[in-house]
Amino acid sequence: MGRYNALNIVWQALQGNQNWQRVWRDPQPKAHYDVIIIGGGGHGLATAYYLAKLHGITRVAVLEKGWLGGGNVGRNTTIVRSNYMLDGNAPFYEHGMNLWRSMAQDLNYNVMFSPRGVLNLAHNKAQYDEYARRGNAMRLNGIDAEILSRDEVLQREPILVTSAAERFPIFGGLLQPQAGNARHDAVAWGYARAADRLGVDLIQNCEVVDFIQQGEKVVGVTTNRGDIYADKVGMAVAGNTSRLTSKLGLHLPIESHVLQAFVTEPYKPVINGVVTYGGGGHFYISQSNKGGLVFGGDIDGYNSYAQRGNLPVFEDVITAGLSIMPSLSRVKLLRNWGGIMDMSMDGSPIIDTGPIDGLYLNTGWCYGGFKATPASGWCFAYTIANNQAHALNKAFTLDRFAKGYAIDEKGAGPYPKAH
Amino acid sequence: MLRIKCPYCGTREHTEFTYGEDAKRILPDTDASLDVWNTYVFARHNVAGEHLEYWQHTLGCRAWLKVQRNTLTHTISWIGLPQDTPPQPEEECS
Amino acid sequence: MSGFRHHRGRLAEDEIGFSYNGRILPARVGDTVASALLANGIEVIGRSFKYHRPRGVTSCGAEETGALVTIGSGAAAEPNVRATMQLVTAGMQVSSQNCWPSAQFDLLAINNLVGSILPGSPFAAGFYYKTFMWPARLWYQFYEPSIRRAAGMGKVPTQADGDVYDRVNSFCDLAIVGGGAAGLSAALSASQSGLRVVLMDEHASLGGQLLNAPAQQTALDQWRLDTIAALSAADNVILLPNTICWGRFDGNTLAAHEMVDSKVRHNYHKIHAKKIIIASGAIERPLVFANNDKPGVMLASGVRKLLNHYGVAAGKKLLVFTNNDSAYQTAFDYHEQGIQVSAVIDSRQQPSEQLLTACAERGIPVHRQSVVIKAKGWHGVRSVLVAHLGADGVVGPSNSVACDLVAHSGGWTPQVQMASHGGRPPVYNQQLTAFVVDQQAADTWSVGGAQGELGLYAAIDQAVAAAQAACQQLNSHGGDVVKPTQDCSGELNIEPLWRVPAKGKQFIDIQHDVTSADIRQSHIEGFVSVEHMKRYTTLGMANDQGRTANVNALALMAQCQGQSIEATGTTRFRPPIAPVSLGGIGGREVGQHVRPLRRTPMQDWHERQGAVFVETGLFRRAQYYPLTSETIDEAYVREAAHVRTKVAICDVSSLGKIEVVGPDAAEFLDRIYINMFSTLPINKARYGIMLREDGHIFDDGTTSRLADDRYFMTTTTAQAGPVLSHLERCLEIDWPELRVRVSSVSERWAAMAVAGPQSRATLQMAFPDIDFSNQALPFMGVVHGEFQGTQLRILRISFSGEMAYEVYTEAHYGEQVWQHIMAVGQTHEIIAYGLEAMGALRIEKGHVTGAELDGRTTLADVNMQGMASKKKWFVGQNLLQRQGMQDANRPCLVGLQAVDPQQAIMAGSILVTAANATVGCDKQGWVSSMTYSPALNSYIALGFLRDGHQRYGEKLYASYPLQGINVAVEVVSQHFYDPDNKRVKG
Repeated sequence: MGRYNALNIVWQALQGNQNWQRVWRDPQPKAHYDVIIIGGGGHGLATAYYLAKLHGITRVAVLEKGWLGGGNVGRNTTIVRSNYMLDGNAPFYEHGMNLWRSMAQDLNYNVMFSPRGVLNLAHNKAQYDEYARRGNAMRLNGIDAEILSRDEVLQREPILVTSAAERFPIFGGLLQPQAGNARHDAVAWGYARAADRLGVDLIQNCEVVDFIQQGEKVVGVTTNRGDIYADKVGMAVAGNTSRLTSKLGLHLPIESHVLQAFVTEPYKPVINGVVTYGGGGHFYISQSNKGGLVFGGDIDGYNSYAQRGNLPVFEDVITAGLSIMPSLSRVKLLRNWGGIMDMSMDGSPIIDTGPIDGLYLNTGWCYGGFKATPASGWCFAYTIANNQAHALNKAFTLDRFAKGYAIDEKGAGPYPKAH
Repeated sequence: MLRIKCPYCGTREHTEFTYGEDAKRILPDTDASLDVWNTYVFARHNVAGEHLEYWQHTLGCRAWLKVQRNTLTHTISWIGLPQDTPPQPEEECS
Repeated sequence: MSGFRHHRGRLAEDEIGFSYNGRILPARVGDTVASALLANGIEVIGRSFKYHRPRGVTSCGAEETGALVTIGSGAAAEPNVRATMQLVTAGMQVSSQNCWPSAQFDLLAINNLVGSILPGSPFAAGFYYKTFMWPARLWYQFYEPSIRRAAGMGKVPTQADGDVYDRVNSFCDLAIVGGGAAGLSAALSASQSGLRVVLMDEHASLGGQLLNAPAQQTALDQWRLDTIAALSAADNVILLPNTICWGRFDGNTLAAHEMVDSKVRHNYHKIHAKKIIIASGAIERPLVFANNDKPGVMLASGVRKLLNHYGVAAGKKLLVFTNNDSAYQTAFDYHEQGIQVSAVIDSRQQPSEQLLTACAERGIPVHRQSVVIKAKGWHGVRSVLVAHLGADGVVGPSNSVACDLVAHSGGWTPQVQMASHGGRPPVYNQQLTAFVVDQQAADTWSVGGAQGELGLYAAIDQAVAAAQAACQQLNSHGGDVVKPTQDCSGELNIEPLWRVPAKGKQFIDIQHDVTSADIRQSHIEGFVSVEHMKRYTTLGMANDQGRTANVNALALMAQCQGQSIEATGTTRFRPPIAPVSLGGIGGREVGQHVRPLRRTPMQDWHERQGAVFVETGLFRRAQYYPLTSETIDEAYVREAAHVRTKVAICDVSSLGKIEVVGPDAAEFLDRIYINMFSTLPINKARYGIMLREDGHIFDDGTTSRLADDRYFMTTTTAQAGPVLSHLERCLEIDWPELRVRVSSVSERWAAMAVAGPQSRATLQMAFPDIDFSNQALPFMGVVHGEFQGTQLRILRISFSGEMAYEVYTEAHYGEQVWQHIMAVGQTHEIIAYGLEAMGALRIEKGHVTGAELDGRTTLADVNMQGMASKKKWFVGQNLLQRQGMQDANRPCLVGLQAVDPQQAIMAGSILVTAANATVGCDKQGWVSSMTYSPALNSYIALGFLRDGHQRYGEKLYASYPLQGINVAVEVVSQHFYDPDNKRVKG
């Protein structure tokens, strides 16, 4: 299989682009694998890649009910960051940042990670002090962070022409300069291609409808393409976790909610990095390389498995955006879509073994799963390979709720819609 | 937009309401085991399909309502007060 | 320079001027920017997205893929406007975009040149995923910035928009999307029922494709005008032209943008319809041949409408290229107007005799079973290469045919986006060679072109039947509609030609520069799902959302895969159907109005006093009252010191206030709070804490008992709403047996804290009828009274640590009572103090607020575990027992005093043992709030520290690496000031 590089592109162009190889094979499912990963999204594909690359486990199948990368990795706002405060989170996400930085070279696929910075706006001293605590904790955890004054914020993002009519005046902000964006589809395709090259079977249009158990132990899955057995079955099916685990009688601390995202028509560069706003409403925005302004806000707020949202949050997100970037009112919205989030009870994820033998869980990413793709895959692969959590994901256990060790960055409590 | 028929106020847009939670959870006895309490507070059936849930008419009469809504289609098939039960037991399709 | 104004069309004679790239040009009232530019002979309007190829007008409607311009300048500029949808107004400024230095000569066209030299383009689908990776940092330092500069189309204005937008909520019985013949007929039928009807159409003139026909065809035009007149006259019908209905949401809610462009720029309509008729028509599909993106290559129906409606001939020498009957009309109309038609190129073996005869009569040569393989010309088309179409591709030599305008038609695509929002995805219909919706969403009918019915009479019949069915379901009767005396046949006799089998750059998605080669390549690379192809090639992701491109692309994919179009399927349609302004959606809820501002009853007074305000939730509370040229630090230290020595007053009206009433009120509060309220005597107050179900602290406040069955609860400002909902939830869901009612009285009471050693004397003077003596009103006592007929409720409670009272009075009289206390208090030198001073006082006292109770703290964390009653159950008690909640390692609340009293301890600092905190050091706690304490003449702070209680006297560092600051602090008790509470009780 050829490596991608500029010479290769010209060589292929000389042949009329007719001789490109498939990015991944289209294998038939085998009867048995060492590991099955349910879910061909970002996390599932990354897990398969790291299983093969770092743990030498190559008899791996990724089972995807639709098309690879068709879940939340294909419908998000592409933000990559590690600006977490709590010790259970920070090292995990920072490990992810390191993986992001070398991902294009590692996968030989340009995932377009670009550290243009993530800026959280503060609107009063209390919010600023909270960000300061976070920024200071980040610094002491070895994560880059800068605290900005109002003037520095406005200088960095001139589109924040805050007219005289500011309802929640900008007080300052917390910047993570090395955070930024990546091209979401490319992450899925890059991991898929790299995993495929290491021998992983990526099987599309293969829907898992049930688990096969021997006694208690999970030993395989029933799919629309037949039964497939495996020593270990890992789940990375954001949005559908509860539907599957209910087959095993498991009721997880998860609610499914819809999160809407938006993109405008393409424009010449006008926003430098990612800007997030928490004054009146919730809003985050960045500009894609194509020029579209990509933004989002809160979840719709009621349990949903429909990949579409409704107008109230639609309006809320846009009004919040216009209140800090009033010149965007002449910008036109191109597309709105919705994705299903596994909202957990503390806003943090679960990467854990069990609770049933042979089963491994990766869920609860709320609406922050994209940035976690590499770290999640890396840790989930470790957890599956070693039957125990790595130090980086040891806090993301399922039993932390029962034991009272929630990782609640927002302090919102066991109310998924509040995270 | 969802439109919810409040038994007291009539049909209103859901922006007048606040989503509460899964209505199948039942408050345990005060002296129930910690396990039972943990399950009550944290575990969810999270049904894809007919879902029994609470909404509060926060910008109206402030009543808490029990609503049966399909989480795949948002179709509301029944609305009652918290102590009512829907005419047909909900079917959990997962 | 080939287009020109030929005749009047349906426009008025009045001429207006507008500017295009700085040149002043004439236009007619009613012209679109596209028709006006073509009338002035302008061919190249902008440059394409990726290859920067010349782009001109390609259509005459919403499906426009080429002519995107910027309208206006400065704060009023709107980029990426479809020239075909924008009416020209006098003095309008129109500019080209995505080109430099000009649309005629653009430097980035080098992209196109490179791609043209090689057999395949190195910039083909997905090339950027395969390169720009070495060395890593060059990606974001060089490649990406260059790509970003080249990408994008128009420029976003940088100044705030001065225009106004509105939101309109409306309700109707029947909403009709689309004002062509079908939509108008449905409306006319339904209007006779008396039901409320709304009809929307995105164009300025209603009529849809009726406008493509010459105005001289009076039968059609008169019917259109009569129908519109009848609808305009009907009281129960609202006609909304210039209105893009862009999405359908749950509950039959339609979202639409109306382009008003007067005092209000756009109206954003939310239409709640009982029934919906979708009559959004069909748009013409392009044919796929080399250079089909050149200016001068246009959809046949657009070419026809330009001539007949706007009187603009888009060229002097027309060539028609088609695979169906519909495009012939364009040739006939041009011929009729005396414009040269050089040929009709028809890919079909046997077009109907009738058409062939008609062409022969007019002397128009018809090339049967032939195709245009390539358009030629530098910028615009000057000729085409025509070849014979064999069974396996193009055969024989190609001939050059001169023309400056190619009108092409590959069939018609029903506009099914709206019908598939909230419904089922459309399915492929082989006869129509298009996707249609076979199963309608509830309460919805698709009619006419939108459902693939292209005949006029048939569409009208379908529309009327739908309107009558809708009316019937609403217990009413839709009327009949008299059809025009002349039909337009909907017979297409189409033979699919998805792609001309020849070489060259054949564009599928003209706006995003996606070619047939890109689609083939994505297939070769294994992107076999439609969604993969779309994402990999970016097909259908441009401003037009692939309206004209999708079906051709799907057909090509199906060809590559050797399967049917049906099996290939289609992607999901997402709102908005056409791009709409964010401003419209924002409406008036922008700027100051993004959230309502809550004002306390004394807000005016604070403003008059020149208070500086701070946002707290929806309130804007007085932070401090500066004397001349005083800084915030000077002001709050002065105000706080004043409280400790004299008397001062603070507006605390923003606190949540809830009345809890009923025989079981005491029992209820015992369950809600961790401490006992059933034992609270009447006219006494008690500080209470409530927990969430998971055992963390939810809220705190003072609740007083007014009667056996009546309590008056206060909550924090932030949690007022959540606490009320929580109480209501518990009562209605968990404990319906409790006879208790709760109601918010937050808005009913103004509240002011009067604090300081002179507070008693001040209030005694202010309200002489009330006995403020320690015996009559001891600490935590409650007393009731009156002032000039208005009710007073006075609690002797203290947040500041001084002797203090909270005076509650009816909100309307809040300022009056406040002013009265201020006036009387002059004797004791009363001043007002703000939130900042209140913060200083409470930190001195060791009281917690939101900075400490951040949703993660337990009772033990804030040293309050002793308050929890052991005699009863309360919410949160069970999960409080979890291991992690009781973990001895949890940091707990301590006081921190700066070792150098004049060195500020910064809030948000991390507590560490080393003077220079380094990465990976042991983080032992953090600083939650800080102040300068006038009582201690030192900077002090509250913070959380592991093993805090055992470490009083220990020296630590408050590290603030964000600014490189490390402050030496001593761990002390949180109770800095008057730990024995002597002053509050005095």
